[in-house]
Amino acid sequence: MTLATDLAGIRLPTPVLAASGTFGRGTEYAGLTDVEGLGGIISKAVTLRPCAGNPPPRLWETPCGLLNSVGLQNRGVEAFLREDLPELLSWGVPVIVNLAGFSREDYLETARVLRRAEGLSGIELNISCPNVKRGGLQFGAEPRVAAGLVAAVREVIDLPLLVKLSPNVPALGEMAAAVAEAGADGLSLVNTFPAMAVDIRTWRPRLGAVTGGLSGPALRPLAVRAVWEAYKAVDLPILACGGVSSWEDAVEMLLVGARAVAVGTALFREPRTPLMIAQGLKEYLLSKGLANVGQLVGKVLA
Amino acid sequence: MRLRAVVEEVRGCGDAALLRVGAPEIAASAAPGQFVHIICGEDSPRVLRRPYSVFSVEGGTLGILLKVTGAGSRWLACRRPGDPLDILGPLGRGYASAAAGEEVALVAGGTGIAPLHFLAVELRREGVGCRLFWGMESASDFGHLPHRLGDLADTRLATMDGTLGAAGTVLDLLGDSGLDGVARAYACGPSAMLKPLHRLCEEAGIPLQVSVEERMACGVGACQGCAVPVVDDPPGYRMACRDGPVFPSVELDWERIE
Ligand SMILES: Cc1cc2nc3c(=O)[nH]c(=O)nc-3n(C[C@H](O)[C@H](O)[C@H](O)COP(=O)(O)OP(=O)(O)OC[C@H]3O[C@@H](n4cnc5c(N)ncnc54)[C@H](O)[C@@H]3O)c2cc1C
Ligand SMILES: Cc1cc2nc3c(=O)[nH]c(=O)nc-3n(C[C@H](O)[C@H](O)[C@H](O)COP(=O)(O)O)c2cc1C
Ligand code: FES
Repeated sequence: MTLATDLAGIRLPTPVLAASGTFGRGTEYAGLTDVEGLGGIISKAVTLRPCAGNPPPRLWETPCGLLNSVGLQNRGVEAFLREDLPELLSWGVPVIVNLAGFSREDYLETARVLRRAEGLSGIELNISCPNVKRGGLQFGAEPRVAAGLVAAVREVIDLPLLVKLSPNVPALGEMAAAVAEAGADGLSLVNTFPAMAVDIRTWRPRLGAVTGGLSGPALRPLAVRAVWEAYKAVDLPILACGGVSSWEDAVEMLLVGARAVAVGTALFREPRTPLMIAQGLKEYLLSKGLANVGQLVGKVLA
Repeated sequence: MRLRAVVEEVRGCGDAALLRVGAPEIAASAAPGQFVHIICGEDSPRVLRRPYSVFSVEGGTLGILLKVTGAGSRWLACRRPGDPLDILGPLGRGYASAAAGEEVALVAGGTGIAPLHFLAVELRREGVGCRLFWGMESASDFGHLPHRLGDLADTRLATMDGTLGAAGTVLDLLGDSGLDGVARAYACGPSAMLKPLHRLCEEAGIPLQVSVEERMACGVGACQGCAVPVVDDPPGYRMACRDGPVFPSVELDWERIE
């Protein structure tokens, strides 16, 4: 029995990763969890130039969920390679870079810079960030536009390429097919769902950016359905994300077609969540007499 | 640091509550201005921990002064001795100390007293003279606590309804002479209090350190959720949980703080 698995050509020691934007460089959680025990780390969004992100407040908690409007705050790809990547790589687990942009040229230029990086395991192309006015979702809303960008990035990058989609896409199967056709090696499902909250005392939005993205357990059933739709539509490995907080949640994602899961919001409460999920998965596989998580992928009786 | 701590005592403190928690490792390293991040209800709909300043440290026991403002704080206030508590801490950067013999001002608004109480204890131990200005809504807010601070600092109180000390805000209390002869100032409270205080201190040439409250998720600097606007070129943000919650007030971009 092994937890090791392959995701779009990336060898993962366990199928439980830390989701983009929630794990920093790993250093922040040192002492709170064994970072070395993760299946991998996905970086915060990296853009060509430094990006200040959105005005505060950036967080608002809802029942079983979290709205955030962090935006693409990062110090740009050069600083990422110089300062963040070495720390991310120091944990000895696969590192995937979340690549974002405000225009097609942004994405491509950043991808070209990333080509220089040593030790990277893959790219997660972020075309689903609800927190920026330009770019982000604009590339992830229409299959034709998304495919165009994916094909162009594919030209530039040899690394395994995952494409991260929004749960808020009307025909997710079509989108998945278009992205697959354009040369993606895998899908990452899902990003946060566009959302909003209002303070009824002041009549003002709770978030400085007015709208944000919903994550956490409240998002999970939407993510389960999205993974299932994509799994039926294309023959690509899927990294599932959205409210995963326990090994039971992870098994559910595997059953609808995921090969691995990423954990975001649950880390904030319990930094050891990914390790606890990996342990739970191990015991589950043993109890079922299964050799690896691959034997669960897409096995939902539907 | 992460701890399964144990609640030792929960005491009503006016409309607030004082929680005493056995957390030896955290108590041993906590400094004034730092905070702890607490799970308020396992299996609750609350996905986030709640940040609380350290109010006091006595031996291996942490004191937390809390006001009930929602479901999480209500859960905390309802703990019983012996109950377990999941705490991360001490987190963030606290107040920079003062020199022995100096006279300093501590300015608190409401529960902003929490980190300043811990600070006053430490400063007094170091031989720093403390003037404490504390404003609250009403005499009922914190029960006897305001009356017990006399040993720590030269304490002056204000309430909005005039039921205790002077009537008005803590800034009214400071008046024109409150900061006279003060080498530095420390504050914690709502930004409506911190903003004018910053201006006051700037005019008087008194260095001011403020503890800010921002919504937090990770509490350790990983999610960039707790952004505080800072004066920078270009204008940017620092993280309250990791770079703060205490900042020199001149570093903050008050124009962009509501
Ligand atoms: C560094 C720091 C130190 C603090 N120290 C104290 C203290 O010593 N005593 C005290 O009574 N309170 C303190 N607070 C405020 C305290 O964290 C909130 O009152 C508490 O989180 C409210 O939780 P709730 O579930 O009861 O309220 P809800 O309003 O239901 O909480 C909803 C969400 O908003 C967040 N939130 C609500 N109010 C605040 C606030 N004022 N600041 C930051 N986040 C908030 C909560 O954490 C939660 O994520 C501190 C806040 C920070 C950031
Ligand atoms: C604070 C925060 C920041 C995030 N930043 C990014 C990001 O930079 N890029 C990205 O693709 N997704 C980002 N996400 C989305 C997560 O990676 C994940 O897709 C989403 O939160 C759903 O998973 P969860 O419910 O486990 O958090 C962020 C989420 C949160 C909560
Ligand atoms: S709360 Fe996550 S960075 Fe401060």
